[in-house]
Amino acid sequence: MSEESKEPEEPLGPIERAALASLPRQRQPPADLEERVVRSLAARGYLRPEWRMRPALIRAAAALAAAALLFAGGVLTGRRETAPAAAAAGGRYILLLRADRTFKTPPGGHAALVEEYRSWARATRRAGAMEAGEELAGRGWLLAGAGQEIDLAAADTAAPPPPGAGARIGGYFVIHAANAAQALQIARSCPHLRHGGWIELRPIKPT
Amino acid sequence: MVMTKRPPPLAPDELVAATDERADRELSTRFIEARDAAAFRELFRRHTPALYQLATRLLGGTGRGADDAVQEAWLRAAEGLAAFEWRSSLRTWLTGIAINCCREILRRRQAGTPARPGGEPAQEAPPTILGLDLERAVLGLPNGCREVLVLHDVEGLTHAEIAARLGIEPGTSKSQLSRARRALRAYFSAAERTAGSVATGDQRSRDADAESEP
Repeated sequence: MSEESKEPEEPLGPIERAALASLPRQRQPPADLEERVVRSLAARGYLRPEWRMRPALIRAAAALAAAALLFAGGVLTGRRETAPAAAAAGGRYILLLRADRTFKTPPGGHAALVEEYRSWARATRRAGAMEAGEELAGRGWLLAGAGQEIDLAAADTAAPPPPGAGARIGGYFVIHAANAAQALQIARSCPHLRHGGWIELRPIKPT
Repeated sequence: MVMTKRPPPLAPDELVAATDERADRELSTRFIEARDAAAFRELFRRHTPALYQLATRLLGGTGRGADDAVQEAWLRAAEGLAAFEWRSSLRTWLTGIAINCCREILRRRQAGTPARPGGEPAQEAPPTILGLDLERAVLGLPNGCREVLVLHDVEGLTHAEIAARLGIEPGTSKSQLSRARRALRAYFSAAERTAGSVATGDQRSRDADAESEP
């Protein structure tokens, strides 16, 4: 034991102990620190370069992607098609199709993707369940592959955002369903989930 | 629709589970094996606020030292993560690296700057509001004292753990802690006296005002 250790102990009083223990354990770093570290790691080969697009290109690409989906579905923005009598007693729901870079394009590429969505949209329309876009109600669900489902109204607002919440919306479908269960069933059948995308399902407020 | 401005989120099951060591392991594996930037960013965001707070305190809360220490800590962690055997938590391992980085910065500072005379705490103006100035009082302690006090009384490490991390004897850790606590106590005693005299002065002033009233 060192000579210094012979100094008398200085025990903390309960107030001092509590005061020290109450000091914050976390502190948000400067906003640019993460980028600096990521750039340094990428420069040293520890990270793959991240593919980025300029905001203008992102907007244009997103618009093109959305247009492709809408065209594939045969749904024109602002145009509402007549719902069949069988579904008229139910409600209208919007499917917001979210995706990020983990989205898996099928082997046939974008054309195959469009054809897949078109087929689903045609089938859904033949069933009398396809429509177009309106104001959204507050509640909804976030769906992902493997049967994952989050009730957005029940989610704790203090909790981290649900998975997929930050993914870009690339397109939408408006459907007509007798109830929320049927709307969920239809949404689950959408091929978007099979490719790693997310669907946010929201009831449309009745007018 | 596959293009995003921000880095992509992790797969849903990983984000939901990203609160424990298992998540740390999975994220680390993705980072090491796939050089996955999203996995690294998630690790960074999970652990950096704690590392940054620790570095700020260890370095006395001055300048960009804490930024540099945390950045260097992550670079070293990236180099060593593949060999990390998970015998402690990732947070504990990262904390050790951050402490080393802070100590190197302190050594460089001391090499270029004369030490405070006698190694006593900086005698700044005493605080007038006790609770709000505790952080400042801690930051005003000399380097050795401050390191041990932060690690023992704030971070909760034992003297044995502090000794191992700082390369000192446990007895030295204890004596540094005693010095730090004495310094803090003296600092706050001065604050209390100041607050008391201010309060007394205020009362006297009010009494004088009352007596001067018709």
